Amino acid sequence: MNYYENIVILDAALEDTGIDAAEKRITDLIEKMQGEVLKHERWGRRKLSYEINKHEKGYYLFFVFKSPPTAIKPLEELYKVFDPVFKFMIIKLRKKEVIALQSSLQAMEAKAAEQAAPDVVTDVVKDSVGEAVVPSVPAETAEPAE
Amino acid sequence: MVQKGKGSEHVKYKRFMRKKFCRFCAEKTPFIDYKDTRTLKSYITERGKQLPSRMTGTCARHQRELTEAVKRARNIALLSFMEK
Ligand SMILES: [Zn+2]
Repeated sequence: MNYYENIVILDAALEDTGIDAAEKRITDLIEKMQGEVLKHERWGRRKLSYEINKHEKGYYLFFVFKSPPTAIKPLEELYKVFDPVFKFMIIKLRKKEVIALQSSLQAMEAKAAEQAAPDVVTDVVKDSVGEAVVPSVPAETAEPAE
Repeated sequence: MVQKGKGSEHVKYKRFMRKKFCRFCAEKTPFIDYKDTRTLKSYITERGKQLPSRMTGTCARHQRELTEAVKRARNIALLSFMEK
């Protein structure tokens, strides 16, 4: 099993239902290939730093998943023929990135557990892992075009 | 008359400059994230060209990592390629 990070840029003109559908199709394929989606984020519509296939904007999806390396080829094949996707990038995480990911996942779990059981005091846990969490959304997401 | 003791007044050409250091070493950054465009932007020019390490003080190892991160960010249009 490897850890991968995957950004997919969808047509910004897509409606919410289309984005839901695209996201589902991607996660379904990852799972079908014995993978597991660990994180998925919607960065939303952003201006691209340069035009890609006549697109000036795109809807960014971000996935982190764990899968056997054999899952990557079918995923790339899907992106190539899947109309709403006009750009994608899959990156295999290196050791240090995997370590950082694991601590951020633990922090997420701790937070979820805390919300599920608000009576339990988990401050100590939260503080010890909180530092390692790096927000993965680019800082200037909301920033308009330059 | 020969003037003496002028040596100390001689203006040595020296720019006012802080000692450079590698920020990533100083902060013990575990890895440089290509998604962190705010950080990456401080290592590229306005036109989008990467700054040389002699200007930023970044060490060789982190400069290589930075180059990789900038390339990834450009690939996915989080940063632009060099503008004309
Ligand atoms: Zn360094």
